[in-house]
Amino acid sequence: MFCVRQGQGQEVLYLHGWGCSHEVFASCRNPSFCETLPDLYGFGETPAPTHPVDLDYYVEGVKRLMDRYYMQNVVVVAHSFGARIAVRLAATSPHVVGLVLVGAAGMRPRRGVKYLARVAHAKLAKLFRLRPPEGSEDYRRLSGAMKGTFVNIVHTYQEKELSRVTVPVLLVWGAEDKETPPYMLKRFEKGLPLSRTVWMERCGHFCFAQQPDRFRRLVATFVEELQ
Amino acid sequence: MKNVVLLYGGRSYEHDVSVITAIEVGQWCPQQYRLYPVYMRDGEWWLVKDWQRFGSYTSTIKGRKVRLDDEGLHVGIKTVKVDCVLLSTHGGEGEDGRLQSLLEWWGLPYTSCDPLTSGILMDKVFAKSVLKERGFVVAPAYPESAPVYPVIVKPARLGSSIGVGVARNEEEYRQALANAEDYDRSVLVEQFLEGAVEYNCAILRDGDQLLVSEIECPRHTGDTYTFGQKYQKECEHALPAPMEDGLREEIKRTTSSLYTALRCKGVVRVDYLYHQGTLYVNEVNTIPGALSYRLFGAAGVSIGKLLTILIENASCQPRPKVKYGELLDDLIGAWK
Repeated sequence: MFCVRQGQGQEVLYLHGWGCSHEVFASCRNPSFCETLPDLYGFGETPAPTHPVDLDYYVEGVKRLMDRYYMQNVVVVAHSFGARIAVRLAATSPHVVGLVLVGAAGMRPRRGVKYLARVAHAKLAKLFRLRPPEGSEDYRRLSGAMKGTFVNIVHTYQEKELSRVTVPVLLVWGAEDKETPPYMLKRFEKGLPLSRTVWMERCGHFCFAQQPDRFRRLVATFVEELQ
Repeated sequence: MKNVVLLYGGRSYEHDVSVITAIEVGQWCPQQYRLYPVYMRDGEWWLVKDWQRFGSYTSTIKGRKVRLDDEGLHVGIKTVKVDCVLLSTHGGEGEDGRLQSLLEWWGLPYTSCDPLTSGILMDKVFAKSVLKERGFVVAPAYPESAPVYPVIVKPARLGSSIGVGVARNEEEYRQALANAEDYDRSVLVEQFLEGAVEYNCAILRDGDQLLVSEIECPRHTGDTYTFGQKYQKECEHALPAPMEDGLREEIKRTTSSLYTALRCKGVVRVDYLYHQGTLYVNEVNTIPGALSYRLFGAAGVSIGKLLTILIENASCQPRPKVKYGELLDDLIGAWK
């Protein structure tokens, strides 16, 4: 797994979202930390797996990376899909001491009529051997093993895993986030009763890039509080 | 686990600043305390739904109405015992001693100066005379009818630089006076210290000790440090402010002696003006914005620790134990 590692001080591991790379965090990095920014499998400089993989494959990859650099007392800053990895990592690794989850994914989404109609359409098309409807934009952009990986990932729901997260958590959410709407935040808050929530007004799913100075200050304060 | 009520909002021109402080401070409240953020609007008290979102305060308030009194916080049929009231109110009734009086009446410990000190320091005219009488250096004030230009005109009981104007001639003075009087009937007219450097320093009591923060120097453009520069990131802050050690010591020493002399409590931020080798006390804030956590952060006191100190040191004047009727016999005897 390719990664960028820089600086000295508190270990901070950044996990990017689906379809992004480590560069998405470029504007909100903090030189006073020892920062590690990997490109997750199939994104940026890291090649895609040869076969469809699941969330555990990504989690193991990140754990190997942490072992490679002897990382301990790590604060994980994770966005969207990266938050799925971060939650499982925090639940299983003793080296994670804090989580900052931004526009985090992993909760079961609310399904509307439109979705049910699409599913019915796909099932009927399969039955009558017709052309099925196209998948989501994220799915369509993928090729090879990443398509299967995407399906595995989006069908992994982590509500029950939250109870195994015992480290302090900071939830940062864009008030206008459409990809992971605020109701998902409520589910995180319910599962993590000791977490703190920070709303970023007039921001969407990439709120950390829209208000990088504020986000940097938030992470710095969170790290300070951990110490 | 201690129950902490975070009070914010209220009838004040600085209502919005109060909401920002509450959100900033509330989100870092240490988890050994159970936080009840109570928002005040139009005489009603609310536990606001999604209280950490600014958007929740721009339209009709959604949430649960609550009531606070000497028994505690009444939420529906439940009454929560209140161990501390964390005040995040700015200006108006929340900072001028009225809210503090109410809390004193109810016997609820709170995190700011007592009603008398709050009232005096809220009114710039009274504060100036008290500070002067206690030996602190302040800029000379003039009667409204006899200004000596240049002057700075301020509404007496408002903060955040709202309604503040500089006048160098009579026409500007009339305009500045009219502007300030829109906000407050009482106005302070004082000498404008041209080219003065501003320094801010905060202080807090922790048991017997006084914790003095780092000193900050807001670098603003124009004559005064405006509301926009304060809150809309139009101004840079040098923190810690570059200065000579002697001046640093003087600021810290003055801040400590002011805190003691005025019998302050909780976090207080003192704003200074340094002009031609003299340090002037410009203003004393009894509930500073975001409780000055950045200033304390630079001195190695994290926001969690700051709030812990504030909450643990919250106080309320003990109610005098009156023995009712003890003197009645004597008094009745004297009447006869």
